[in-house]
Amino acid sequence: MSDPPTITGFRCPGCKIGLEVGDSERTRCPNCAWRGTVMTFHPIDLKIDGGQAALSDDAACVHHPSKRAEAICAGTGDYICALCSIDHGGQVFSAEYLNTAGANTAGKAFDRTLDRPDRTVRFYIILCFIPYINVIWYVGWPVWVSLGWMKLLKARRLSKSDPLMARLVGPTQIVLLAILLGVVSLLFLVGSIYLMLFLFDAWSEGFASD
Amino acid sequence: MAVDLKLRNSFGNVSIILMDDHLVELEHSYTSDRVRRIRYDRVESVVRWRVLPLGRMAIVGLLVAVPGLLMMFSSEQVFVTMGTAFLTIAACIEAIYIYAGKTHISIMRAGREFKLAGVVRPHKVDRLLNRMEADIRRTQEEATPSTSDESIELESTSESTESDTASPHIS
Repeated sequence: MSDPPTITGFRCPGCKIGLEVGDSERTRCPNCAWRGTVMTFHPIDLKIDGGQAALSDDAACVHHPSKRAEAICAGTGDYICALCSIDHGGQVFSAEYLNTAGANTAGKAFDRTLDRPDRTVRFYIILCFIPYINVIWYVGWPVWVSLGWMKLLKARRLSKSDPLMARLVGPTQIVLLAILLGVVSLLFLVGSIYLMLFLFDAWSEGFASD
Repeated sequence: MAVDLKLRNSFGNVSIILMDDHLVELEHSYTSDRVRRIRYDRVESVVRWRVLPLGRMAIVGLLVAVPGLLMMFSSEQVFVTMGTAFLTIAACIEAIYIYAGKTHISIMRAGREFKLAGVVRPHKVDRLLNRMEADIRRTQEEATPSTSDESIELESTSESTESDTASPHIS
C-alpha cells in the first residue's frame, strides 16, 4: 500500500501565492513579508466504497438491486449496500431512512448547534440586574424561576450523556448554578410572601378605618 | 479548564476543544453554541501567524486614552487624577494587546480552509498547537498501515521457516 502524500507547500495567507515549506517551521513570504509557523502533515486519501455487485446467491440492496447487501438498516430493517449505509452512533442506517422517517436521527448526527441550558440559567439571573427589564422579570418570577430549574436539570442530564457537554459544563458549575438559582428563588419567594402580607395588612387597615 | 483554548473576538468568543481524532470549534452565543468539527484524518497543513489587533487598539485609544488625555488639561485636580487613571488603564490594555497580539490559525483540510482568530496569550497557543500536532500525526499514522508491518511479517515467516528446519520435531 502506498504511503499517503506529504504536503510540502501552502498558500501565503497574505498574498495567496504558493510557497514551499522550508526546513524549519518558521516561514517568510518573499512577496509580502508575511511571517508565520507552518506545520504539514500526511493526509489520508478518501476512499469511497461504492459497493460490490450482487451475485445470484447474494442478498441485494433494497435501493440498489444490482449491489450486494452489506448491512441491515437499524431504522427499517432493510438490506442495504455500502453506498447506502451511514454509520451513526454505533449503528448503521440507510441514507433513504435518514432522509425521511429518520430525519430526527440525522439531525442529531449533523447538529450544528449545541444547546447550552446552563448559559440560559445564567442569562435569566443576569436579567434581574438589568434596569427596566428587571421590572418585568420581577413580576414574572414564577415562570422564569421554574424554567430555570428545568434548564438546570437539562444541563445536568446533557453533561452526563453528551461528551462535549461534559467537557464544557462540569459538576461544580452545575452545583454553583443550583446554589445561585436557589438563593434567587428563595429571595423572590420570601419577597412575594412579604409583599402579599403587606398588601393584606394595608387592605385590612383600610377596612378597619372605614 | 475543560476548554483547551478560548479566543476573544470582536463579535464573540470562540472556544476550541481538542478531542481524540478531531477538533471542535464552538462559537458562543447567549443560549447555544455553534459547533464546527474538524477531523484530523485529512488535515494537510496548519498555519499560524500573529498580527497586532490595530482595530481594538484604536478603539481603546479613542474611548479611553483620548478622554484621559483631555482630562489632563483640566484645571480641576479631580479630573487630572481621573485622566491619569484613564491613561494608565489605556496603556495597560494596549500593552496587553501588543504582547498577546491577534493570533490567526488556518487549518487546511481536504482542500477547505478553516480559519480561527482571536486575542490570546502566545504560550497558550503554543500548548494547543503542540498537542494538536501530536494528535494529528497520531491519527494519521493510525489510519495508515505502515510498510514496516509487511517487513516484520516477512521476517517472522522466514524465521519460522529456519526454526522448522533447524530443530526437528520431537514427539
